[in-house]
Amino acid sequence: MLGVQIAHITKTYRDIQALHDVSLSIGEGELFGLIGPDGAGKTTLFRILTTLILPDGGSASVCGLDVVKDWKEIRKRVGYMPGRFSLYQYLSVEENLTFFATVFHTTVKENYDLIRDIYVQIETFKKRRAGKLSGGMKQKLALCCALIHRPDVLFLDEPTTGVDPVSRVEFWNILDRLKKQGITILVSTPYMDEASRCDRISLMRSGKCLSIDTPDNIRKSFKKPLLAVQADNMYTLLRDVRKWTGTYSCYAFGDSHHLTLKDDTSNTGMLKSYLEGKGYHKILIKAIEPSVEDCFMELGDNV
Amino acid sequence: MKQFISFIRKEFYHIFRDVRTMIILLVIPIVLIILFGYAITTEIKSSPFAVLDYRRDDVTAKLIEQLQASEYFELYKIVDSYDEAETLFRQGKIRMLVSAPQPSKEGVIGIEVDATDPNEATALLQYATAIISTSDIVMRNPDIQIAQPGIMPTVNLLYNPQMKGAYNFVPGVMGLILMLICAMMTSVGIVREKELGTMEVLLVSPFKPVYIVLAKATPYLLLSVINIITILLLSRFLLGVPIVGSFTLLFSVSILYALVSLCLGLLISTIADTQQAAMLISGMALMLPVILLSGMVFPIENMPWILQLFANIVPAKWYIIAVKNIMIKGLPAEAILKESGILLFMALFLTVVSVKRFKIRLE
Amino acid sequence: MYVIETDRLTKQFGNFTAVDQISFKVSSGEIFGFLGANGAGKTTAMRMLCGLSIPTSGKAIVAGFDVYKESEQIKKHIGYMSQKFSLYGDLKVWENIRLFGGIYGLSRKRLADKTDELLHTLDLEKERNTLVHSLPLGWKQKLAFSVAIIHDPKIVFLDEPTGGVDPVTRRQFWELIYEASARDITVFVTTHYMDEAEYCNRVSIMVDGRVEALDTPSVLKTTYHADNMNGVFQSLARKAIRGE
Repeated sequence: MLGVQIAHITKTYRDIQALHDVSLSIGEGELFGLIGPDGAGKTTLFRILTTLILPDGGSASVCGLDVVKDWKEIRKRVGYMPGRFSLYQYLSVEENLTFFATVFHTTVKENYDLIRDIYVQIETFKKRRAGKLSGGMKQKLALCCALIHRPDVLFLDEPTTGVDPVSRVEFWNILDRLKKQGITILVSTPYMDEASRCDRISLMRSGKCLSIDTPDNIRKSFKKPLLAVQADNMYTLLRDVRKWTGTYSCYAFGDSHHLTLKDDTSNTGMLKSYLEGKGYHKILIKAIEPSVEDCFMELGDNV
Repeated sequence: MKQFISFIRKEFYHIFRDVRTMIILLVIPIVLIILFGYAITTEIKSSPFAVLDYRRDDVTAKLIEQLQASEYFELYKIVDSYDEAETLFRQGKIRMLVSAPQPSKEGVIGIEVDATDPNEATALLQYATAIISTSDIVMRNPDIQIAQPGIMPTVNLLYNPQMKGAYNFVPGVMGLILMLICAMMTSVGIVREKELGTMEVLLVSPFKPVYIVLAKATPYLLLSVINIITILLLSRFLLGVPIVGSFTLLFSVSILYALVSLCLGLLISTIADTQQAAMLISGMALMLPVILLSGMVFPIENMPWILQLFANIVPAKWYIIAVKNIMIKGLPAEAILKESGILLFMALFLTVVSVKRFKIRLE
Repeated sequence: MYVIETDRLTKQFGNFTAVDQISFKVSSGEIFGFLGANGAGKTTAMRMLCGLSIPTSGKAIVAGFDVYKESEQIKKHIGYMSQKFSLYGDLKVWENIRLFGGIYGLSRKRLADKTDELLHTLDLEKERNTLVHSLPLGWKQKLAFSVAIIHDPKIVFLDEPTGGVDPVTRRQFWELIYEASARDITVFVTTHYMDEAEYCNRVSIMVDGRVEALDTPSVLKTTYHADNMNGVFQSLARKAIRGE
């Protein structure tokens, strides 16, 4: 199986352990997500896979090529969009694209079919300088530049960070279409809600890959009962729920608080009477399915 | 090759579209030449002097007339006593005092100068002595001698008879500007790509890392050629500094020096991680030595031995010597063999080091 | 009592209208979510409210001061924190606190008390002498927020304060926001996390320079027939025609 294989990779910067025994196997044509906050080690892992830095230990291969030995060959076969990638500010959209095409020994024309869907969305601005594009458009241009040589594997490091929700949805739709073209895509994101758009994901925290599975299976692995709680004063509710005996943990989740129960011995009725006793009104409690974010928060101690 | 050309084209876009870069490249050289040529000058012009005249005959009158006739001196006052002259010295009103004793008293003409600025003092002394000793009156009166503090040299100004500052500064400014453009701009340009994240993408591409470096450096080399020509034109026609020797030779040695500067810039780019750091390092480690240790402002011979030793590794020192030899003295290629040899060695050494140091990875 | 009042506030750059006649009022102690797509005009609007940019036309009173004439007064009565610049990484935790406390003119005694209180609340007592850049991002942002309100401003402006922060710390950050709100500090916040929009008392959504919707999250969800704020945002922001 080709794609991307990672075995026991470790990496330390001075005294900070950026990656801690990371092993992953990503199949050909898979859309794989690394989900985790800043500092989880996502960028370090990307840089090792794109041959930009050397691992301290372990081994990894991309398209069956070793990231240390075959770096020259790998660089011809992958597309890479680094985090905070901002292109050449003084070059226009068109000039940026042509430049990267030439650097990768190809022309825009040759692979236009691959980027057409994305490029038409920014084509009206093709004479505009990259420095003057909005976040969403910059990101689309950067993706075009990373795709222009028709790579076998695409590495996207936090492509949606700082981008508004609408552009983010559009971006994921583009990735779906690329996947259908058979390109293996490895993408990282700090937005947990984007996890469901991947075939498989790995939750990352503090340099470790914590669980690796499909988003559905990860959600199913959440063992404790989960409740959504609402009441008239959400702020005090959070504190009061945390004080309740049956609570394992409680966090704000949008319009309700997600409450993880310690075990099955406590139930909705007991919570309701506890809250009524505290003088709450409009109490709404219901059992819910966990989201990826719930699972992430459940995984262990905070950093 | 197509990639390479495309890269260079992109580099020129960066340069032409960024106003700040354009200013550094095109305006600064001109400003520097004009500054050094006119404003910052060591030339002596209309220095005020006083005469203490006990002689009161046509000899002093003739001397004053001849000193006045030169563009270097201007009579401030004829004083009556030495005390008065001293007051004027202290007030900074005069720079030089010429005293003519009574003819009976062994006719020694005295020259005293304000030596606060030793360079200026030496020059004043030389000019005055030259004028007085060659004047007809003094020649015809063998009883008159000139006395002055220190030893009286035989003055014969070679190559630059008017002692124009520009003769000294033009080669220095060329050394400075080529260093500025080639080293500072190249290092900042490469480091900027590191900051933008584009360097990561370029590294993860089939484009060979060595080509990235070469493509970054080429536009600045071309621009420095334009600058060499501008400077030479300005100095020839604006400052009136002649190019006595071979232009081709001058041009070749300048290109060699530009190459050394480029390599230094590349070396800095492998050390610095931010544009500010690159600016700071190239400013401190490259520009200051060019200004202070190349002999452009302060004569190297007068420095303590440790600095003299250090000056040897400053490329600008050798470049400036070579330029002076060709441009001002008009010497042939053989005369700068040593200097060009040293520059060539530096270029080769730095190329090897910076290419070795340039990383194919990020760390 | 309103701490922010704008009336047809407009900012034009040449023929481009970045902010187009926005009018709204924010009450004291309110948590006000200021949403919009990239390029909708949020940053420009926020700059005008902070006294950093003079409006082209319209009216705005912030903390009781006029944005045209009293921008210096406004700056004294607001706090500001953004994702990009928050604290000096090469200064220690306590040095940062002292610096910003000093900038806002806190007395030495009060600054010392505040420092202890703040480090205690954030559970950062052990990190007092740590250089800020070696703290995890989430801690940095919590510290930056606490420093931004060290002078008890009337309003604090937060520009995407939780970008890239891990989920647990992000929630702790919002608990700090609630505490500030309980102390009657108005919180004016932009975010790209739509679940955070739900934590706001009221939310405004900007599209192409105009305030397209403004209400409580629950009313907005009913109006736009959406399950969550993401749905509301998607249906509104899709109407946008301009880029940036």
